[in-house]
This record gives sequence, structure tokens and C-alpha cells, in this order.
Amino acid sequence: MTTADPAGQRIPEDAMRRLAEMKPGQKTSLFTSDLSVNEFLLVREAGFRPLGLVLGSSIYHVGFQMGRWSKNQEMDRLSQAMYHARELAMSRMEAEADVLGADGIVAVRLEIEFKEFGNDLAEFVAVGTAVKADEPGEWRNNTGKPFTSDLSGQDFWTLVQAGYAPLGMVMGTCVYHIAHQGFRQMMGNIGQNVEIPQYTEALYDARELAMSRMQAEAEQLEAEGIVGVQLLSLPHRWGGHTTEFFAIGTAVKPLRADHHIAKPQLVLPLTD
Amino acid sequence: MPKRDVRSRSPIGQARLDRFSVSGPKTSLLSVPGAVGAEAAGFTPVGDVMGSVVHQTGWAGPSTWAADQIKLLAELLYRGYATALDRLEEEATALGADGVLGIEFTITSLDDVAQEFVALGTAVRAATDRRPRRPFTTFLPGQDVGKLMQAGWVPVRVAVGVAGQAMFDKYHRPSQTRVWAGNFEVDMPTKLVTDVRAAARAEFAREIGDCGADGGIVSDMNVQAWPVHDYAVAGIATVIGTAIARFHEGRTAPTSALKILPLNRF
Repeated sequence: MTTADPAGQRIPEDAMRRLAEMKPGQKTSLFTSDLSVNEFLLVREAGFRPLGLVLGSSIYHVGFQMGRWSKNQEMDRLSQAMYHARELAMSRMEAEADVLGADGIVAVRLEIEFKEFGNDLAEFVAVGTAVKADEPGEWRNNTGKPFTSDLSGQDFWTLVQAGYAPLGMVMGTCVYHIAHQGFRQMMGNIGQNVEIPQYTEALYDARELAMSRMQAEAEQLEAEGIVGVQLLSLPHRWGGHTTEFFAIGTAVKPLRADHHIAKPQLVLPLTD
Repeated sequence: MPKRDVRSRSPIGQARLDRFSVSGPKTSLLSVPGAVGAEAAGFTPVGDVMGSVVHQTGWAGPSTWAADQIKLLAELLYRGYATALDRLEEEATALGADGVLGIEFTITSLDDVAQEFVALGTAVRAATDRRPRRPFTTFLPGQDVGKLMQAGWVPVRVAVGVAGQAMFDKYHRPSQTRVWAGNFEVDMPTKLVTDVRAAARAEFAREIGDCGADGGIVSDMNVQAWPVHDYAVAGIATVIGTAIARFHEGRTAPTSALKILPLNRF
């Protein structure tokens, strides 16, 4: 890759010519992108042009809900808040991409940041890069919106190579309150290795709820499957017994019947 | 002591640059992969370059409304970046460099009233006869520049967009943020962060457009927002990145990625 390439000599020559010929204020098809260089090059190679950085944000007041001390329960008001705020950020990002005429948004990051404004205020941000395919095609999903994907540029390239297209980011959330142990149970368990059934049940149920909600979103998009799923437990600021279980992934559809990719070359890097 | 124009280089700095041009050692801040990447793109390091400036943080006065103060802070931030970068570029030009790779900015507060902006990078020279009118500058490390150049893109310059704004927020606070108030979007702060981000992004895009580049790769974007007493919200957004220009022909990207699977653990 380094010196064997006969075109290698031409590269700096052409590049320096381009720089020398550049005129300030020249009309160009300007884009901005949040991708790293690796991602940028791979997205280009997958046949997509970046159009612009797109972003949606919402500062949200997350309401308060009291969990019953000794009861396993979903905190539905908090679940709703997490859903709604993310939805707001995502739909604003999609609206920006729509204005740019994008086919999709790649490398989306969905972040939550608690702000200095107050204890219950959090900023929900969705950032990604809007892209358009070089070849026109059916890239938008069944809701007529640009596709979204939280896959990295590398994963996106591999996915398209393998004959799949992303449809949209799907997520499921469940804020769950885990019951405290009763006094008698606690005394009875002192010094013993035992399973605490209500804890196990609570964590199980909360994760199942989050995952099934994500699944439902994928069904709505008529997806074949979901890739790159992350199942996170985010404690946020609700204390030890209330946790958000958050499942997020990218729903995909097949582009063609066969899904072969070129066999990769194995390399042994000499670094760690 | 003779007074010296701050804009020109210090005698000490000049002496350091002079030593480069004779036959002194060529210094570089590139990592080993970075140096290999730069070489793949046809660049040889000529020396590390620096630009720095110390600004006093201005104060619009205690009675002035937050908006003026924020504007001042944003302006200062932008000028800090721009001045440090200009001086770095000057050093690079003095070395006869064609570009500066892997620029890193550090902003340090000096005893609360002043801020130091330092830009450090590695000046490189291309193995060609043609020279750009002014050296290109980029945050990207050598290996990224190597990859970009192989694919037909050249970095042009570092672009910085800064915007600051403050808004009255009397109506909603604190009633809207009471514990029992339920779930809802807080509209003023949302509008503030959306607006400052949009303004900073527009500035960033304008800088890229102004130099005639084709696109920009954002390397960092951040927003700081805070309440001002209990009547306003203020925020400053910064977007920094590198403008890039295309030199390969045709609309499609050259396809040359070699599919490899590294055999290390991760």
C-alpha cells in the first residue's frame, strides 16, 4: 500500500495542484460529516455520499414516580419519558435529513446528558450523518422516512456488501423498580449464599420488556432482523433500585437473495 | 528592552526555525503509524510547529445582561483558535512546509482571568514541485491523511465554528421544573441548545465554503449550557474539524479497500 503503488508519486502532485488551484468562495457541493476518516471512506465506497451532519435535541423534564418499597414494578411514567424524549430528538434529526433529501442517516449516536439546569433535566441528543446513494434506489423505509442506523461506517459497509440494507434504528426501553428485600427475608438470608428470587425476576422481566418492545418496533418496519443490538442498563439518577433497561439495534432488510461476501484476508498485526 | 510586535515571531522561536532550515534534525510529533501514513501520502516531516496566544477573559460588566457576556466569550474562544492557528501556519510557512498534520489544541485557564490557546502540529513537505499557496492544516493524524489522499481527498484547513447565545427564560422556571411537574420537554433550554448548535454548525460550514473546499469532517462538537441566575439560560457551542477537497476524477469513489480480519483478540 505504501510505496509499491506506481500511482503513489502522482498522489501528492495532484493533491498539491488541487490546493494551488483552490479559489476562496468557489461554488462547491459542500457537505459536513461527523464520520471518522475510516467511516467516511467506507461509506463512500459502499456507494453513498455524505450530505451533511444532522442533529436533533430535546431537553426534557423527566417526571417523578414513587416505586412501592417492596414491589417489583415498571415505572411506566419514567419509561414513557425516556421514550418520548428520544423520539423527539430522533424525529428532529430525521426532519433535518429530510430537508437535505437524504436516503438515510448513518453512524447515529443517541446520547443522554444531564444538565446543570436542574436535577430532573436531561438533554437527549441524536447526531448522525445524512447520506444519499449514488445509485437511486428504494432506500427509505415503509414510513417514507430516511433510514437510520447506529452502525459504524465499517459495519455499514459490511452490511451493504453482504446484501442487506438498514431500515431504521429500533429501541425498547423499560424503567423498572426492583423491590427491596423484606426484613424477614433479609434476616433469614444473612451469611448465606442464596438466590434472591425477586431480584432475578425483576431484572429478567425488565430486560424482556425492553427487548420485546424493540422487537415490536422492528415488526412495524417489516424488518427481516435486527443487527448490532446493545442491551444496556442505565442507572441515570434514580438511585440503586430504579434502572432503565434499554435495548437498541438496527433493523435490516435483504437487498438480494444471496448474502456472500468476499472472504477476508487474515492478518496478524504486530501491535496489541 | 526593545518592544516587539506580538504578531511577529519571538527571537527565540525564530532561532529555532532557523536551525531547522540549515541542516538540523527534523523533529516530528507524528506517531510511528502516523509517520508511515504521511509517507504513503508523499509527505516528509520538516519540523514541529506551534502557535499560541494568551487572552484575558473580558468582562462586560456586572450589570450587563448575559447575552453580551456570552457573545464576548464566544468571540474570545473563536479568536483564540484562529490566532493560535495563524501563528502555527506562519511557523510552517517559514519552514517552507506544504501542510501541517495532526494539529492538537489545548486550552488552559491561567488563574481564572486568562486563557492560553496552544496549537501544536507537525509541518510536512510534499514530494512535488508544485506548492500550495498556503500550507494546509488538519486535525487528522498522519494515518488518516494517508488514507484520505489514497482515496483522492486532500485536507485543506482547520475549520472552527463557535456560537454563543443567551435567552430569557423567566416564564418557565422554576414552575416547569418542579419535581411533581411530570414528563415534558423544557422548551427554552431546548431552543437554546438547538440554536447555538445550528449557529456553530453554520459558521463551520461557512468557513469550509469560504475556502472553496468540498466538505468537512467534524472532529469535535460540544455544547455547554448553563442557567444564568434564574431568569436566563446561556450556551456556547463549538464545532471543529477539517475541510477537505476532492482531487480524484469521476463521481464515484475509488474502490480499493482490502478486506482483512485482524487476528488479535478484539
